[in-house]
Amino acid sequence: MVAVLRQGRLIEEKAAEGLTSSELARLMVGESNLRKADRIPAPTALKPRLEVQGLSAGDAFDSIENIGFTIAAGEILGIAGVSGNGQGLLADAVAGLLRPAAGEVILDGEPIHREGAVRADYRRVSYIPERPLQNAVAAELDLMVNLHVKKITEFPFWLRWGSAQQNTEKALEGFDVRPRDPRRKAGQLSGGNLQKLVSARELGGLPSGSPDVPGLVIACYPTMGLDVSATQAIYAKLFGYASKGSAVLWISEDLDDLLTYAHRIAVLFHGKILRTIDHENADRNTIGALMMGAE
Amino acid sequence: MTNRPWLRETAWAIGTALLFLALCAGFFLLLGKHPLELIWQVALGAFGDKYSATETLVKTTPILFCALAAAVPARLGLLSVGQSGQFYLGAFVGTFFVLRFPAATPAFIALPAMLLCAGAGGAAWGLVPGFLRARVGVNETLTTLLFNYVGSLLVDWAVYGPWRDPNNLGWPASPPFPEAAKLPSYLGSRLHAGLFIAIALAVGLHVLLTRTRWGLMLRVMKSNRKVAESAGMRYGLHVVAVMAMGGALAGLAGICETSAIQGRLQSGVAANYGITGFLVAWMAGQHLIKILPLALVMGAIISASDALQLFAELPSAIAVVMQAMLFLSVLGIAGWRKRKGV
Amino acid sequence: MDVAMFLAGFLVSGLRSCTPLFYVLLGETLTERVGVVNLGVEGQMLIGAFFGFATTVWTGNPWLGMVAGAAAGMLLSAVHGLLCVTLKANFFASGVALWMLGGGLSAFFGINLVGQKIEGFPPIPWGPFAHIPVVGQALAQLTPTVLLSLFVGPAAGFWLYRTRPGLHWRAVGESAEAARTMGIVPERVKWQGILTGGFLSGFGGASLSVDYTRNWIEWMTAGRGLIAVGLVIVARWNPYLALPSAFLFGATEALTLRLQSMGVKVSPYLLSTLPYLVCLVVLVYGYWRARQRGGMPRDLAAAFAHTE
Repeated sequence: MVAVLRQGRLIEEKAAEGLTSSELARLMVGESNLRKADRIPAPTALKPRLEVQGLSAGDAFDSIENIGFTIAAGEILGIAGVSGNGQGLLADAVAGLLRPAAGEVILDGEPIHREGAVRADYRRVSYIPERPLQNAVAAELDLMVNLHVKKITEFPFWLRWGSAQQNTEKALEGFDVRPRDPRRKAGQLSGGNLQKLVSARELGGLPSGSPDVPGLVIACYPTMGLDVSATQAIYAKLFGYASKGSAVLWISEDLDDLLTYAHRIAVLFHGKILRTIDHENADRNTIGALMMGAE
Repeated sequence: MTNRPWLRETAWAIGTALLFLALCAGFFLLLGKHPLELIWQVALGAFGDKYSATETLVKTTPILFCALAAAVPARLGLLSVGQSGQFYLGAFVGTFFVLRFPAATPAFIALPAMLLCAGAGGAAWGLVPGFLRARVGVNETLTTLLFNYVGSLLVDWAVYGPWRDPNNLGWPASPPFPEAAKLPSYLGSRLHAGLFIAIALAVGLHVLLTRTRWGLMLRVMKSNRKVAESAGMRYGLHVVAVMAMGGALAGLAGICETSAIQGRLQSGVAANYGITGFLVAWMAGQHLIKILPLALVMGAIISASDALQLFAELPSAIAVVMQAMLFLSVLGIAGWRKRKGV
Repeated sequence: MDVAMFLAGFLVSGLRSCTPLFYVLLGETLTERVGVVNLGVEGQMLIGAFFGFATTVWTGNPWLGMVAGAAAGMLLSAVHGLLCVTLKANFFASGVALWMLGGGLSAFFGINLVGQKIEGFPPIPWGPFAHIPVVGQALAQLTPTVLLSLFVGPAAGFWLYRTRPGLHWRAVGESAEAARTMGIVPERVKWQGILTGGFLSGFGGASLSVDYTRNWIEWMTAGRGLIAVGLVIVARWNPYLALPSAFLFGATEALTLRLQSMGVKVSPYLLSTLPYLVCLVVLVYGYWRARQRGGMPRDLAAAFAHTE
């Protein structure tokens, strides 16, 4: 039996046999609201924007080793793998948030890791990390600050929020973050709403403040804890950046979604990329086996 | 509970004060003294007449500086307990320059230069732990504590050694400061300009930390370092900056005390002001305006303990015991509230 | 012979000087193993030194003094337990409060003890060993607390790594929540760790006043407790390494005293900064290594980075 609950009410109880996933999805989100995100066609001219070479990082418990790949402008590279195989480290290292033990990350011909302090190249990179409460928000600060966090270094010396309040309300509305209260502390949001909040910051056009799209978009489990329709809404925004020419690095556990949307899929196992497969040649069984470590 | 938060906070503050008074009363009873009489003596000793009141303000001044010195790094989540070492370094470097001023230097040059040097000296003593924290991740609480002892020994070395004034007849101290290098004092008492500098700094820093981009950046960095770094903020740089700022503030305390109160560099000049300042900052929740009244309370306790030495013949360590009891009350009540969620 | 004499003398005076620190270091190691930092060991040492000395003056029995000092340290550490475990206050703030309370109370009540002298422990009868050249002279300087220190560290190490309660302690220090799912009550274990640390730091304080200096001065520990907290990191939370780490401090102090007695033309005040600077250097090295290799109990790493 399957019981479907929506906003605290029992919607349907049905036998599990014969229930299709699309029917279940319809029951979960309500009538025909579900609009699946469009698949972005793979770019024809493969001009690489992102080059990762021999990237290694981590310690005895969690590491990545000798990772290399490229992503072209407009291309979506999916990283498949059971979580805990180095995904978080890989995303952090590519984003420039941790200094790798070896290797290079080059975006548009410029290295991501520079001499001196560790800090992200936030103007060129949009990054949705895993576990947003720990990695992506200042929990003690309010939603307005959290949405504008990547603009703070460019604020005037004397703080003037000006139109920020309206922008915040608009962004919360656009990404359906609840409650829509710019003064609410980020730490008080539920997991799903935090995920939407981070997407609103990284994918809502707010991050760089410039009209240019970021060269690289990294999304690590960007739809964790979201329902089906919210997931599709995030996908639409995320893959929309590929159609605008960004390189998209998308880490997911959902094999069906990866097979639908990614142009290429790389399988991460024990911190190494076992194989990278084109969309055309990808099938569930091969990738499933690779995820378990089968060569 | 009431829905007016300020009323609730006031109620808890009174509760904390009552717990503190109860602990003090218990301690006085243990000593076989009449607790209420002794508490009355403390109040008189702190505010009873013009002399007591100005002495309370005199003691408040270094505490205020040191509390600011603890609170500024705390705004980035750093627990610096190095105020006394930075105090000594401020006094040390400030004195070094004062002793080398040409005799005819006018006060309007000598005083700012002296304060600047002292601030730089204290800043250096905060900078090193800050750098170690930023680069290697060494816990700043431990390093600042170790630096305290080195700072105090450095002053001992100077006043027992190269800077010792032969005219002092064996008393270890530097030669007296020239008049131009003494901070002005008021009301015919020891109350000096340092107090007003400290208050002005408290207000100015409060505005800086609440109204500017930098204050906001510190809040983000304190809350989540990773987010700050992914937004392009340089965590390590700001760690060094707040530690140096804190050090400079404590250094100012050192030179004010040396210049206005002692008039020369002496061993042990920091007394317990450093740690008292740390306590004040902690009790004020690192809020720079709330620090002002709390520093006054601590100043009163220290000033009154001098009176207690005379009236009740209690050792001067009574001040430390009372401060510890106040801190314990604050920590205990805060913990109790957190546990009960009230 | 002279070189052997010098080295033996240096070894023994280093050991003697590090013994009080060693007990505190071992106690703090065990406390930190259950995931609690206690800066209040400085206060616990002071209160231990005071009670130890006062009891010895009063009864004339140094062993009673040691027991009284240890009990006093343990009693003060209970305040830390109350604040940090029961009320979940910040470790570092509570530690500073304890430091002031211990220091203040001992200075307050100890004012009449300043200037008093005690006998300390009677010499240990070494029998025939006393007549061996060099060794005999070195042995003659050893006191019971120094000898005891050679055995306590390994015993604590064995207990921590080879027994079930020791395993529970380590589990709690690694992750209190994970330990709870194993059926351990982390609060109880943390209380045990804090009280054990309190006992040992009180004992260490008492060994300072009763055995090492044989007098009482206010704030006589001069940061030894804080140095111990730093050296715990250098000893990598390992009881076996507690004595070698403490000896580092003892050797520096012994060297400082020796240089002074040899009439080296450096101010004693500058020489006295040496133990602190050495501690600072090894602390930085310890951190650097811990970062390279890990080895800090997980919950503790969070406490030290203030990200609890």
